[in-house]
Amino acid sequence: MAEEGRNGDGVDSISLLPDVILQTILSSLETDIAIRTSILSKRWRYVWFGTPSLHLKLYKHGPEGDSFIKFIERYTVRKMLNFELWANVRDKNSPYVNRWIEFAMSRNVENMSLIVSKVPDFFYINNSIRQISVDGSYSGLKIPSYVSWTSLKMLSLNYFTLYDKCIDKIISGCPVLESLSLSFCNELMVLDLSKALSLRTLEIYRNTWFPGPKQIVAPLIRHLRLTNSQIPCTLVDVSSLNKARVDICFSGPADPEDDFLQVQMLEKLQNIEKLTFGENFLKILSLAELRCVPFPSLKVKNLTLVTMISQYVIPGIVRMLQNSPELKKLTIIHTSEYYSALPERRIDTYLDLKSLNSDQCWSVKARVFENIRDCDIESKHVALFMELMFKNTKTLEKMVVWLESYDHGRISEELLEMVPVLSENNNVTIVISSSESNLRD
Amino acid sequence: MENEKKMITLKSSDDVTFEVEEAVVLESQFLSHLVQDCPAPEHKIKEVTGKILSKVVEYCEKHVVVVVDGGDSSSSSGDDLKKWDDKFIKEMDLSTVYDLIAAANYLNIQALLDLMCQRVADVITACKDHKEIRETLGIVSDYTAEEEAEVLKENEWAFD
Repeated sequence: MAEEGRNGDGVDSISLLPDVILQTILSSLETDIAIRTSILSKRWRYVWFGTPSLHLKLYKHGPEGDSFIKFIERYTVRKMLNFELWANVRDKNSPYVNRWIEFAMSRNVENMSLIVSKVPDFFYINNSIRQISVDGSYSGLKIPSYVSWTSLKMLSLNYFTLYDKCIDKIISGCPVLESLSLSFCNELMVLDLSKALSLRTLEIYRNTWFPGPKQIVAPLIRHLRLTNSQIPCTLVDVSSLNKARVDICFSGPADPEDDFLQVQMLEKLQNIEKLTFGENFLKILSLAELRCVPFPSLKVKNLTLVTMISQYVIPGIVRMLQNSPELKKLTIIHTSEYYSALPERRIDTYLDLKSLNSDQCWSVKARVFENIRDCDIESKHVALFMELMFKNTKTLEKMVVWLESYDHGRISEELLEMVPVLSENNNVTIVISSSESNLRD
Repeated sequence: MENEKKMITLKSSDDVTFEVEEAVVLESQFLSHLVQDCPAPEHKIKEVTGKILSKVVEYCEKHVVVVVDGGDSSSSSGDDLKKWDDKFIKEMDLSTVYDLIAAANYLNIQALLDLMCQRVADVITACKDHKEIRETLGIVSDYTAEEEAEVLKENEWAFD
């Protein structure tokens, strides 16, 4: 049979590649698969010994006893790049979790990614690690009293029980920390990062069940990505921000009651030049607009909206554009891969409850987009949406439309033909793009 | 915006020429040093054939365009690039992948090298056993039966 990997001369050309490249290939394999390549031929027998990255799924299997010791003896890398360990949360391999972590640290690992139910205290003292991601798997992972990660730049803690004082300990032990990500942490009340002098990027993911933190004090951060739950967290001090991305994760049965508070959050973002908002956030802003809540004026110059086109996002967007007198660039990312969109029937229920779901409340411009589903979105809808954007902003210089949803190729082709008409009465540069085409002006 | 863009000509081992913008060349560490040290209008790359160089140029051009236009790395331009990368490697046969690995290694284009290595890793992962890996990658075993049994025993846990 014709073998794909052989070149015309019948030479096994992959085996001619230098070790360091074969080891790069093995680096992205799960380690047991990487080791299995030792049986391919003599050329491959010892290649895995020098693989700079290891990925072990102990919940499936891992070397134990003598096999573990032999593994460590054979493995030659002294400066590991990545170590990923996925333990059984019910701890079948519990003694080995600590031994693996100790081993990776002894090989000066740079990036460590763990899914574990507990980690040893010595894990918290290390000079070589630059990136850490720990998934605590809902267990009560606790931070010890002393932390010292002197080279750590990026830290990501997921599904953690974190008390306010834990954050203080981490911050005091990470002098060069640049990026912090907290996903679905509970117990955390006030996230005070005012002593994190190098920290520039903060990412927070919250939901109804893991609502921490409730308040953020981060006067030095530049970039914020915040996914709120229905109950927003308060931005107490984010005065150095120049870029923020905000959305809301809707989970659980609660109705969108706290819309006003999310508008209050907008006040903390009013001096930021680059903003990105997600669909749920825009829907909540729409509710606020329909309820005539006053909006702050924004200094945003570069605004990105990640949303489907629907009537439920229109009032919020229009109000925001009217309140953004310095806007230069508007990017619309039309995506259907939105995993947790706030169901529109729930918005209807809410508006009915407040007697706001009548034709007087919805403007004609929003009604144009009534009942559009992603699968029947047409280029004319996108064009109408773009026209509405033009009408509500005077300073715009560039509009980018990314289509990532159903049949985007055809729609973007049709839109490209409409560009001359769309830009007839304004001086806006229009860029239409879909994931199937290149960026084109 | 429309400044005069500096163009550079690359010539492959089999004398196929490619005229590219300087920004495209800068994706390759090797070429950017070459262009800096020796400001000739044309550079011959003896180690890379025209067929492979055209792929390299295609890859670098796409990555330059997106980075420049996407400006401040919006997540979506990242997604878009990833989709493009997926398509780029999907129809490629393995011998082209190997040649591109060698070329990316020589020209020092880390992202392309990583992408191609990932492709080989995906092929390996998709195989059900080592016989299929050998078949797919075109590797001929030079182990005796005894040696093979020994290697198996050495790493028994991984073969479970």
